[in-house]
Amino acid sequence: MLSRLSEYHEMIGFEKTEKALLNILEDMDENNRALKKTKGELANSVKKLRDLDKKKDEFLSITAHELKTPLTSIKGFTELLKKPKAIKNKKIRTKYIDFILADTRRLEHLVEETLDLTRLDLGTFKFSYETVAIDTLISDLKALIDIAVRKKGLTPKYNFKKNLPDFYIDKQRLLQVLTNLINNAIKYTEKGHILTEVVKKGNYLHFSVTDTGVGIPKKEFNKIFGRFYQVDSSYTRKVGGSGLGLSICKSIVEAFGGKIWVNSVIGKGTTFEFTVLLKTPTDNKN
Amino acid sequence: METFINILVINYIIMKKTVLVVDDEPSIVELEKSILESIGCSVITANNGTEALKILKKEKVSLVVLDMMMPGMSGREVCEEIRKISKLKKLKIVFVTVAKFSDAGQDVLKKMGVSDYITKPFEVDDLIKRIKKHLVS
Repeated sequence: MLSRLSEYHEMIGFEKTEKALLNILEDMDENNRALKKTKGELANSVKKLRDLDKKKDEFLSITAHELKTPLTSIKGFTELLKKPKAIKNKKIRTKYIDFILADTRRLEHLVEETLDLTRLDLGTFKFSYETVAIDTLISDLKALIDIAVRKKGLTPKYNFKKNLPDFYIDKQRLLQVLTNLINNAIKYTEKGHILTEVVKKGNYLHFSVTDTGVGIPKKEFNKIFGRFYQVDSSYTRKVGGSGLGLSICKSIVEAFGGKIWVNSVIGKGTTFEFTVLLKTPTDNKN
Repeated sequence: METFINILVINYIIMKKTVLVVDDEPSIVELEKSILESIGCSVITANNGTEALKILKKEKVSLVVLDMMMPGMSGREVCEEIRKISKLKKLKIVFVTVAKFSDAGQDVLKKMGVSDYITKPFEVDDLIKRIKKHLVS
């Protein structure tokens, strides 16, 4: 009887130990799974950081290239101005000076754009919101861009309803986006018009800029908002531009609570569209 | 007197040479063209690699000033294509680049038979000195 009782105790002991062991194993399994998950997450973060670092390096190297090109031209033509040929010939001097001026402007523009992008990335880009009437916006836009459109032999067109509500926005930055899109349209359009439209859709103002230009291949639609993007051909290089403009537009539009996208048919033309969240002064003071 | 004759001879040699300038940036093409014309050689220009190869197959060119970073064909690819053409195996090539080459990079250049390279932004007189040296040698 006594021996059977001790056997029984032993069994209970075993069972208890077994249960405890199983519990420990289960815990370890769980820990292991959690560790694996963390490991995966860490690997992902490392990969993301590496990609980001690579992108930053690429950005720097392209920036250096884009800066050094106009710098080379400015330096070179200035040195040439000191040579006898230029000293003797006024026509040659004027030609060299024109190159120097054009590339100085290009350099200035690039520096401004790079600063804009850096500020947008860091969140230190200054927005100053004000209440804007659509009439004022369009007349400001016309004053900024119509001459350039006409100079290329194109017709500027506008389509918007006068009864659109006033909206609260950084007008200068909105104009920056619109002039950037219209300037792009001018570059890639040889004849026809550039149409700017504004409509209200729900809580958003919907802007679009349509040209009758060369068009953009479909496979490039997503890439064009990336940094230093230029359609890879000598034609695009010829028309100039840093390739930062659309990236800046995207960041500004996103700060306005909207989205930007593009549609295009090769040989027919391109439409850039973006939305802006309608805000009132009380909604958000950025 | 001797040096004077030397200069005359060098100038005479250079005047008979044609240089091809290849760069996708119009202002750089114009700059290099102006520099080369100032030392008396004839200059042909191309905005990209494809155009450059087309010209090289037709015209008699003594030296190519080739931009490294171009959209489409890079300078290096253009160089490789040039070396595939038998009559252009010994054509003198001077690279113009933004970045300096590492030692390994310079070895690659040597293997491709590149005569020289110059970094942007360059000194006008430095470019003249080097181009003259390669045109005369």
